Amino acid sequence: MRRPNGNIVAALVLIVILAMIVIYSIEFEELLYRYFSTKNSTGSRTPLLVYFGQHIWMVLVSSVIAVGIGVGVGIFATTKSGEEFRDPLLKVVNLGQAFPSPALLALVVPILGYGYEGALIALVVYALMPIVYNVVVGIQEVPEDIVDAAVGMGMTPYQLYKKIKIPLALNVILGGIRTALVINISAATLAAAVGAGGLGVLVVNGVRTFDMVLILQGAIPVTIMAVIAELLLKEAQSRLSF
Amino acid sequence: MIEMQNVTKSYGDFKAVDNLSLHVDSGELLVILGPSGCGKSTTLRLMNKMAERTSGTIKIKDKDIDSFVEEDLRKGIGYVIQSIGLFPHMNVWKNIATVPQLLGWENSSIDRRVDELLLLVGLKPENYRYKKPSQLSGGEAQRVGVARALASDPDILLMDEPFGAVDPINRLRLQKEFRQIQRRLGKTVVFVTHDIDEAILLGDRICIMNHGKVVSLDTPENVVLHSKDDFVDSFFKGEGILTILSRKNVGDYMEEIPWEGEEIVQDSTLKEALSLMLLTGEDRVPVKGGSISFNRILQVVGRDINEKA
Ligand SMILES: Nc1ncnc2c1ncn2[C@@H]1O[C@H](COP(=O)(O)OP(=O)(O)OP(=O)(O)O)[C@@H](O)[C@H]1O
Ligand SMILES: [Mg+2]
Repeated sequence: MRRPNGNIVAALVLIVILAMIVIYSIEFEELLYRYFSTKNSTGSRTPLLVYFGQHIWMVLVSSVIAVGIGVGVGIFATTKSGEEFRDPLLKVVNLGQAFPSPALLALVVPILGYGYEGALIALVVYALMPIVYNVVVGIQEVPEDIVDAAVGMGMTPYQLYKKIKIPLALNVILGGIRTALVINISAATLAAAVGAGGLGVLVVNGVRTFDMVLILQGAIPVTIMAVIAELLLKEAQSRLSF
Repeated sequence: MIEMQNVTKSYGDFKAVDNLSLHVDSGELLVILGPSGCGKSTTLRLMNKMAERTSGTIKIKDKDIDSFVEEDLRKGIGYVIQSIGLFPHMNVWKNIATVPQLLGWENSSIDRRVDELLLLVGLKPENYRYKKPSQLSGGEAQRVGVARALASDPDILLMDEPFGAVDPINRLRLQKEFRQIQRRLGKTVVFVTHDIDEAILLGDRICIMNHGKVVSLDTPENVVLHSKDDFVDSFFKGEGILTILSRKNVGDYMEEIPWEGEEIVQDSTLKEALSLMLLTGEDRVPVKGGSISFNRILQVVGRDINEKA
């Protein structure tokens, strides 16, 4: 069963690189200045580690909440009692995925105010879209005859979900979570605009002061994180689904 | 064992099953035969509540099926669906173990049971136990489907064209093996097919359906040879008589007259003996311990024909 594993190896390499960037942030900054900027404005700022921590925390919390709610709502929509909600829900979720994330954040601020909570909720809502969509579609796509056989053997609805529907839909469900996570990692950058911290602070400040180095300092770790998440979840998908 | 009284199943205005009554005795193999769309699968699914009847009563072991918890009713009845429906994410062991696991059996007894069933359907346990359904041929998958339905040793089996996907040669072997298994275990079986030969070969009785109704319900011999119904006649079109011969063993009709040539065994069917006569051009073939003649076969069929005429 052991096969050489490209995804895992690549992810590990990227994790090491990311760790180096965070640990040796000063050297990283100097390196960037050498190539991307003429002015040298190394001042004492909040260390990269802090922004990095805020960013990861925001992504993790919002993703865990979104997975919990999304999987729950998605499963409910595929049950008999959730049948009426299914089509409207799919429409909303589909539209939601097309809704620009900055606009969503902008909508949240007037309602929830500036800061961490607002950003978190926006991220949760945004991550919900692909998760709910994939849970519903994944479960709906489980072949009719397999469900028929399972019910015919006397499985209760709970056993049907646990033993048949969810395992068979797992690949698609994990695909949704993967999309949500990647989107969230980059969307969390915008959270800085509503004062929620994270690596986005660097990017936002960089854009404001036309400082290429600042932008890259924020953007590079975000990109690496997104790629790592993508690789790890791809791997999980190929391992957990049959 | 199974009793259906005036059962109707409507989809809107359309009656898939129309005021149908039948009963299946304990240990009997009842075949439901009929053209596509005549309501065979629906009839079967009414018995384990996979379809809810519109009216009428159904009793299993003298108890109204409404008095069972649905899941318990189904756990007690083996069911092979038309498209097999093996679980693709589970290996053969897990597929077969499904119902025993639902019933909370211990793993050691499930292990024993799975091996026993694989042997029963002619698959070597050590080769097949851990295969995934995607690694099985159509015929192997259907055997596993049958083994899975037998797993918890239910008294009743509902089988919806279980051998539909098997090639003709293997199908015949499966049919014969299944017939023996069913006899040996004394299972009550309702077996749906639209294959005439399969129906004649397997059935203790054949229930012929059309447009959701029972057209005829009788032994294969009577259905084939004494039908008074135009639909049944047109359905069989004179076919089936050779298959009647394949239900009968040479050993029961042979004579102790020695005959030269390559012997067939007593377990051979009259159909095989007849084929051999056509091949050799002789009207008698040697059987271990004697021989059988063409006239004898004519008599056998003749007696069947005249019995009721
Ligand atoms: N869920 C359903 N809704 C509406 N009509 C149905 C439904 N299930 C079956 N029918 C109709 O009922 C009739 C009988 O169907 P059934 O599946 O019992 O046929 P069958 O005899 O098993 O045919 P086949 O040999 O093709 O499997 C068909 O005309 C079919 O279209
Ligand atoms: Mg059918």
